[in-house]
Amino acid sequence: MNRIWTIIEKFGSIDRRIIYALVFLATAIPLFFNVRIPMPVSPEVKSAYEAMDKLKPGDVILISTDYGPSSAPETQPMLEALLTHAFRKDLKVLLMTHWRFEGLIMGVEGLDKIARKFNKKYGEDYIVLGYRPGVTAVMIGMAQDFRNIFATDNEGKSIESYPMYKEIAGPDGILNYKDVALIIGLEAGAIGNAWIMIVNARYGVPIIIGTTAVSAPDYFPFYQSKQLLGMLGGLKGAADYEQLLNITGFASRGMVSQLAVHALIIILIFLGNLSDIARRFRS
Amino acid sequence: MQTTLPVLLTFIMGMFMIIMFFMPQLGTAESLATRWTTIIWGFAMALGIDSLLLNHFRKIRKGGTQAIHSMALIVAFFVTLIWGLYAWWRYGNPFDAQSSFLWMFRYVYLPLDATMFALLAFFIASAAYRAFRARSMESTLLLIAATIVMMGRVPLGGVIFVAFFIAFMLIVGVYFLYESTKYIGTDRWIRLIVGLFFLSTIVPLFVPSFAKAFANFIPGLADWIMQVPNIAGQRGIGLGLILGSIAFSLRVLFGIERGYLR
Repeated sequence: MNRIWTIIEKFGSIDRRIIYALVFLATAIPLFFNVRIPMPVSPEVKSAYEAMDKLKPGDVILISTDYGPSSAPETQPMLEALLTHAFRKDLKVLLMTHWRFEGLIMGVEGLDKIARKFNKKYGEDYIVLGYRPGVTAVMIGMAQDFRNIFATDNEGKSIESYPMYKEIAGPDGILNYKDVALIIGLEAGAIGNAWIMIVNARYGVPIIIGTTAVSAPDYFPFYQSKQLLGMLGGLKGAADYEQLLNITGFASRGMVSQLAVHALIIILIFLGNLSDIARRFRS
Repeated sequence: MQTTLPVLLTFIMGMFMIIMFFMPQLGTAESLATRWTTIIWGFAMALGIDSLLLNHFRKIRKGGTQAIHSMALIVAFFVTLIWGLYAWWRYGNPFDAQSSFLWMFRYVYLPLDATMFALLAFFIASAAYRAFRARSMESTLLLIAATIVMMGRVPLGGVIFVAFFIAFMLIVGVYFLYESTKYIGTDRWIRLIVGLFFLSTIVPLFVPSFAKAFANFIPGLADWIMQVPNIAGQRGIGLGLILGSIAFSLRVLFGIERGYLR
């Protein structure tokens, strides 16, 4: 029995390089297989899907890609899934960012990819507004007229010059939150709070938030208080949305990696605790 | 005068923005103020760059082992700046599809940024293994909640949780049965009963329909943890933060807090 305890105690001192190698393998290997394992869809993702699904063709959605490449594995699949849904329903898309140029690059890449798939045209079906510094100032300024902040789009052309602008602006030629049916904030930080506290609270625009798993708990209170119509939390949120759309994207494949890594971490924690218990009993 | 004027300006602008919030009819004035904010942000960025460069030039002048990092930062800063300005002149926009600056951004900056964050997965796995120990009631509760959420939010998580549950109960049950052999009388019986109790909890899980129901219960339980105890905690923290922010903002508006003037 003493020998068994000694072996169990050793579980508590696994070399960190072995752990790193196991994490690498658990993450990488599942990505080589195009596997999708169905799972129960979270209620907050279902709400987000239903909010998008209720929109009519021609309705305008504003997507803010407030994240960089560091959180792109979680948020980029959300962007692609939401855009797939939007273009399936023939919605008009406006894209902007508060996250310097990283957010812009990530947003434009996702938008171009999905727009190509659905044969959508720039200026007719979507416009990239771009980046302006100031976060809350930008949000408040857009409430009057989007042209206050985005006089020109990302290409440097006047946003009024596009046929889509004429289609979506009000009869007075002004485009503001009144013309937007839904705002989608894809967030890696706290900018989502500003969307909720300023744009939803003050101007009443419905909002959906997609955020990294680590930030998701911060947004749940807003979902419960109905300030958010729905939310997508982490890779699971994106995978749930893909499942609702019946597509197999990166998120669905990534969930298998996530399953492997979560299981590995739990096994490691289990072994660590077992070793701890063994050491305490012996001492 | 040096202190009075900024404090007065802060008070006037602060009150102006508060009034504007409740009077959307005066939206044009507010819109003008927000444009000023955007311009001030631009200047703040220039000040930040100035401060960053000065700080690192100072570090290089001091020398030492860390100077190489400061040098790398300054070289990277100027390479990016000059490259960006060149691309602006050459293509009209540094992020033009043909721009070499976009190539640098996409194939140097983005992978570096992603790699930095990806390293966290390795450190978190290693840290969780070393630090996540059930040494007190609180840490045990945290451990159980974390395990349920981690398993509840991945496909087949419920099934794997059932496997872990069986393994855990089996180990604890066998341990108590083994311990009972070392004692006599009541102590032996207590350990025997506890061991049998742990072993008995896994018996129903060998009935497929019960095991399936238990596995399906885990994702729901994970959602419940996220939506009930998590929200309760988050809301408390959020309310505390906002009340603190209001108090601090009032102190700044009324000139009690003047730290920003230094």
